[in-house]
Amino acid sequence: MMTDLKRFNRFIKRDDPKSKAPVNRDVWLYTRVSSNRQKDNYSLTYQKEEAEKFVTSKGYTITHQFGNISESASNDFTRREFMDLINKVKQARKKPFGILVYVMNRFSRTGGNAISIAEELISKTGVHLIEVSSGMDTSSETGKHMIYSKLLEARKQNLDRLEHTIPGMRKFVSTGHFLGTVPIGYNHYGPRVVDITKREISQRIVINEDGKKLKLAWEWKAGGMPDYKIIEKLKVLGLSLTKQNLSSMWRRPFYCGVQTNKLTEGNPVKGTWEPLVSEELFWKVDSIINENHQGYLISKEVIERPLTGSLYCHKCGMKLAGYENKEKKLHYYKCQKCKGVSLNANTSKIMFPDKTGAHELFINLLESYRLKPELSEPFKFQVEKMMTCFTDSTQQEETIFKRQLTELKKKRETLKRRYAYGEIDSDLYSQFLNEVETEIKNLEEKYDFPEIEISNLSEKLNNVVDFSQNTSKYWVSGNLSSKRRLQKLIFPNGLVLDTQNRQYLTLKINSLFSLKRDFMGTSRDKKEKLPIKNDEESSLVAEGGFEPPTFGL
Amino acid sequence: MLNENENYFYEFYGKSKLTIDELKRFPGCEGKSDEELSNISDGLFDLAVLYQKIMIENDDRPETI
Repeated sequence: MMTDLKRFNRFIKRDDPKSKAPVNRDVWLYTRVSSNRQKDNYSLTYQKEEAEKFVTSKGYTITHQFGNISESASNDFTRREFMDLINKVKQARKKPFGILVYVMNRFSRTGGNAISIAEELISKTGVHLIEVSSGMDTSSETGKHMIYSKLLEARKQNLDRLEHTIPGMRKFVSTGHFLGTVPIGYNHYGPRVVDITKREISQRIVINEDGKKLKLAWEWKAGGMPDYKIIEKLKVLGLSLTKQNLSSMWRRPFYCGVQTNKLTEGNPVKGTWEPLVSEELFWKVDSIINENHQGYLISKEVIERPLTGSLYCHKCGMKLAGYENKEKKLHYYKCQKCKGVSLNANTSKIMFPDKTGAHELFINLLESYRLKPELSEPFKFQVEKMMTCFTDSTQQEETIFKRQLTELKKKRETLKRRYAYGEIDSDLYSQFLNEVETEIKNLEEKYDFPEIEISNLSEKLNNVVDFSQNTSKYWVSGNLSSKRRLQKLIFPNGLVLDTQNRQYLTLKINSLFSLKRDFMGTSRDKKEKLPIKNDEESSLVAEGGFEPPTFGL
Repeated sequence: MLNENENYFYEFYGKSKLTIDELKRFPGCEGKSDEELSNISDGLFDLAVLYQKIMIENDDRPETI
């Protein structure tokens, strides 16, 4: 019997009519170039035009565009437009079918990272990558494999390029040429500069008008002028700089003509450009800012350990570090290298009365020194000269102030008179009176002159003698900065702290100071024990007079 | 600001630093070379600046010290 096979037709499985919904044909476009220079060479326009042709032929529609700028693809997360694209794709309610890029290296050059981003896009959002130039996309496993290979290839291209470029760059900087943007005060001419008016065959870096002003700033800084004053003075000369600009300038060897690019691999080279300042001036400023740097690092802990930075280990010679035992609330100086080299900073009268602290030992040491007797009078004269200088300067300022004030008061009177005689109307009168009154008020607030008591001068000078003879009590009363300055002034090379014997070994004493007679003793034996020379050739010897010192004055 | 303030002291009092000729007038400085006197001048100036600074910090009242 012949079967009518057509009868079975209804058993054939057919596509669900619902599944015949129109396929999403929306795509988003991402274009980019690597640098600003490429922006001018029509690459972006080309990428866009090619993408438009592609979508027309394939029936896609570009609904959003991203990029169209220069973004280096060596790091995905620092690319603003790229990250904007990825985030918007993730957040979009109506997702596009895919992201269109001209070639895969436009999408990314990070290799593995790019694949992970692509994988996340495909698996979590269903959005694919489409390459215009090849027509491939990630909607099929083969396509995905090809696209991922291209992303890896883009990474390899970048590495290859670096391999070729870096030696060239290294050679460039090692011959004294500069790589990057020149700092303020210089103009950069050369083949690769962005400003086309400055394009030249070879590199030429020259000091500009701002540079001439900055030259003065370096000299002011070396003379000890604070930054805020330098900023004020530069502003008067027509150059506005921030505190940060200035701070950064002091730290750039570029200004003394030295190339410190990291490609020099730790071997700074002489630059081909004209130095703004001499190396000598650069180092002078460097020493000033380093001193400042220490000053800024003041913390509560350091305040409680003023000798930090001045003490050295008696075993290894390393600087002692300070620390606080927070449980006991006690401060210590210790060597970070040698075991057991540690000393309490302060003497704890209740807990450990026998363990004299580093500070008390230091006070005892200071008590044994004084300014040399023959320098006492010159020192007094020096301070007197300073006080006179202050008085003179104040008096001069006061004279100027009084003259300005008298002139302003005269103006005010004239104004009142003219108003009274009807020469000016009330509006003008109010306006100008207000101006003059403000000026008078400002002047009076600005100059608040202290009463100069000349009669007290001799009394003050007596204190000078006390200071030169009893530095220890001034060290105790001084703030951290004064303490440090005093200890550095008297012991310029610091002190070695013998923590086992609880004594200081002095390295060098300021030649203006000498041991007090009381500490020198009278017997020959005691004199021989005297440890410290106060001249350049001072050696590492123990402090004298370790018997309890006295305030013998 | 701490050290900037100290620089201010140096700037303010800079003109009053003792000269070598001024130092030569003192008996204790006779017979010293100009180099030695220059060092003494530097040292005394540093010390004097420090003294002024400490006195200002203590409100010019040595009795508090």
